[in-house]
Amino acid sequence: MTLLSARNLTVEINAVPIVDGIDLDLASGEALGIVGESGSGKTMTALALIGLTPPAATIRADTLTIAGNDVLALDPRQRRALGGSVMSMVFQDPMTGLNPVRSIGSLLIEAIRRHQTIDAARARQLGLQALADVGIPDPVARFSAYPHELSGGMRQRVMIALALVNRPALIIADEPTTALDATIQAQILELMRARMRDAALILITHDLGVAAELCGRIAVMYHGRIVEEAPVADLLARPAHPYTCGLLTAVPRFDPARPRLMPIPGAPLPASERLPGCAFAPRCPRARDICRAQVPALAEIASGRKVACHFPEAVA
Amino acid sequence: MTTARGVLPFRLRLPLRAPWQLMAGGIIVAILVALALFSFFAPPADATRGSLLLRFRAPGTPGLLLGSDQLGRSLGSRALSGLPWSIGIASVATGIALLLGTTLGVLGAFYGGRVRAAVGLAVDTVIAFPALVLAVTVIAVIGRGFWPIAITLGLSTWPIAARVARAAALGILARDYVTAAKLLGVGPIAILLTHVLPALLPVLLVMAAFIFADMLILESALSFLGLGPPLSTPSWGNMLADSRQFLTQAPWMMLVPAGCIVVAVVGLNLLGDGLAARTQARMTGMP
Amino acid sequence: MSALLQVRDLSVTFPVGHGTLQAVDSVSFDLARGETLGLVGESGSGKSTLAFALMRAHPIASGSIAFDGHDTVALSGGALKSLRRRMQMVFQNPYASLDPRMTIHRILAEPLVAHGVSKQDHGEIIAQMLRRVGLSDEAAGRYPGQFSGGQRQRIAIARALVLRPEILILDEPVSALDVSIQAQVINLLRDLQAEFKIAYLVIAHDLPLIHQISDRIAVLYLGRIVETASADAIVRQPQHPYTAALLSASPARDPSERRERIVLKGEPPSPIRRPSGCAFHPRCPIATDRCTVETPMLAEAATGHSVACHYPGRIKSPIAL
Repeated sequence: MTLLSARNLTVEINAVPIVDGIDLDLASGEALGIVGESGSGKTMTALALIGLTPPAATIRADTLTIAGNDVLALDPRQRRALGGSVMSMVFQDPMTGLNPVRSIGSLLIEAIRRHQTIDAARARQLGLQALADVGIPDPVARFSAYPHELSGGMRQRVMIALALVNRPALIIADEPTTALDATIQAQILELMRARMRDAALILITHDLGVAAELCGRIAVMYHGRIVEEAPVADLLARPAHPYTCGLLTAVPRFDPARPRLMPIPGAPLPASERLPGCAFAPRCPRARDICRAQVPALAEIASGRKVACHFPEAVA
Repeated sequence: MTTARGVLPFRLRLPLRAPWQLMAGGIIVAILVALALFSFFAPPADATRGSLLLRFRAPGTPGLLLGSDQLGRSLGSRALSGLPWSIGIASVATGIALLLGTTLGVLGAFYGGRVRAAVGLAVDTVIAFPALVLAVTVIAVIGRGFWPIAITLGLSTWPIAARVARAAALGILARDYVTAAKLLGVGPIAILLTHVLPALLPVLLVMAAFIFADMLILESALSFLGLGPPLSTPSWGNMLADSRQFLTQAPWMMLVPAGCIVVAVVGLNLLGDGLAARTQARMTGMP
Repeated sequence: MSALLQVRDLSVTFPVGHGTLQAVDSVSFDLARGETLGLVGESGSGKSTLAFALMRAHPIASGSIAFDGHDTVALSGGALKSLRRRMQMVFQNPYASLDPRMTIHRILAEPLVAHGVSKQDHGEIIAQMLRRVGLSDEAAGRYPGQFSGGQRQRIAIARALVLRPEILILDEPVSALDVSIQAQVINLLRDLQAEFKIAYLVIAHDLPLIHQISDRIAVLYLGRIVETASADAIVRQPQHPYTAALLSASPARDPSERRERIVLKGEPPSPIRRPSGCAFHPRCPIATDRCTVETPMLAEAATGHSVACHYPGRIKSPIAL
């Protein structure tokens, strides 16, 4: 069943398209990774879906439906009501996602009672259960703690507890492990894998490895557009877009020979700059005249595989 | 790892439009300064000599746009010729407060230990006295006049500048590029001059506008209390003091100088707000 | 041949409240000319404090640092300044480490001025260094805000190198950069090392990256080195369970690399409340009662491979090299 469907989703700030007409489809329970670098528009995509774009942003789309709601037709109050119940968000920095002057418990109880009509005692019970579910030791003691009294890893667990507590159909996680240490990142990934079974997940990350661990399908964004979309194993084994290829060869991996890394030359095109052709062309080893003249459309090249490139790698 | 790139998770060049406060405040302050210079070099004659035939004329009388006082002197001209006094004193006092406050504040931030403790103690001591009470006491002892008043006001206000400068300097000193300079072997004085002061400048500018407004009010208050310029000098405070006796008879005598003070103070505060907003926009607008 | 940098039993403490915080605890290592030592650890491991202590920017509680045979702990004034000419540092965040109000020329000239290099040579030295890090001469007249993150880090590297130091400390040199840019900077660092024979001390949390550029790796946990060996040996035969866990925690980069994950319990404890015995025991999957009371010392398990663990080598490497 389709949970989320976006057609030609565009987010503009000061007439600059940060997200430039992307299509997204997500089935219930599916996990989609949106991978890109800073300025690729991945975070703005997430904020547009959850309804948290900055005031200067304008969102347009041919269609944008989430769990049967035509999101763009909703008034702000109805829109907010979707948050927490139908979908919820996990931020990179839990300190910005958690109100610093409220205790963990009161945040949980408020979140629960906003969407469920139950008494305070029952809500407290559910809140404690939610903390225990995300592996927080001694939930009763932590219930009255404030966000700043917890470590980064614990705060991220609390964020996840809050995101899960109303059993939303969709969770949007924006770089949920980027600010964490390696061993804590491993814990949180493990937790997300274990606890987010029922909900659909959109994971925003710069790290293909993290996306590969949690997601079945990955969309790679570059300069506001999706340049490649594929099942994770296919994408990693046989990337079709030269940018995806570049991302995979640019990162060091354990290899005793230590071959010289193969970086992508140049730097990402700033969002405020437009090119008549493919935005990746200036950095692309395979670019030809047509790439500089014409923007390639995202097209299906094999079952479940889409790529926006005039000269994609063969994937068969 | 996170990257420090401002509040929003993306980079955008915002057009650096001058905020309206900056425009409005700048225009008001520029007009005041121009008028002050004009009246300093060409003082209006009817500010000190009036015609007793034209006493207590209401504003709008031909030739007396803002009315006249009990001696038939033009209030508009008097307000104009009070400007050099008020602006002059406020400028000198602000200059002293900024120079002293910034120097001590930055030194306190840069050298910890005893220097910081000494500066802190001096700041707290001076701040414990209300500026007006301090000024009244000092002027009562050493006498009135342009320089005594200006210096006294400056000396009673520097701790505010010192506190702001110290807080800002502490923030700047914690930046990576200052640490980098230290590790490159750059000496303390060079660090202060090349990294700290330039970064402090926008903060100092904003602060100068607010302190200047404060000084204008304090100067008027001193004049009102009879501790300002000689009574024959038409400063705004003196005009206010004069108006007391004729409040019911000629309320405009009070409204004209009071209005001048309000316009000047509002203009300076707008300028300060505008400068602050522009600095803010630069900080967040630039990656 | 004696090492260029010899660190012995180095400790750094900070006063906190009524007690002291042992940020770096009896750390010893050598760094040879032209060699790269990678320091791996999580936040609170003391790796950045160690870097600043080596730069003599933090007071040192005890221990010794010998640079080219000369003790640096007692240095001050002019002698400290000439040490800084031979030992430089690159910071993590190139958005913060360059003064936004200075042109690139002034940024690069700053160390030259500080060390009395004749002003007429500045232009030539700076132009040469800019070209060497892959920027054009015109860059000198521009401001940091006009450059991308990768270019800024190149500028920061150029600034650290204009005085031709013998040791360069790199504190997370690429972690603030986009993935596609990181490789450019890593390759540049490798080229510069080959050309100038600089010794690198690289601090990073990304193990594949550290493995890529280091000859040897030291793993820090709560201020102590718990394991040190050649880069390959650390990955192939980690002896300490913490090293094995770190290796398994680095995300796989292709599906064939998918590996068994060792998920540690809990979080690194605060250095203020250091656990008894082996500081790692509360999180260790193989800890015994002995580990809670007896502190393991760093001892050689194989030639050039030291580990501080009572049960070394019990957990096999999750990485197949």
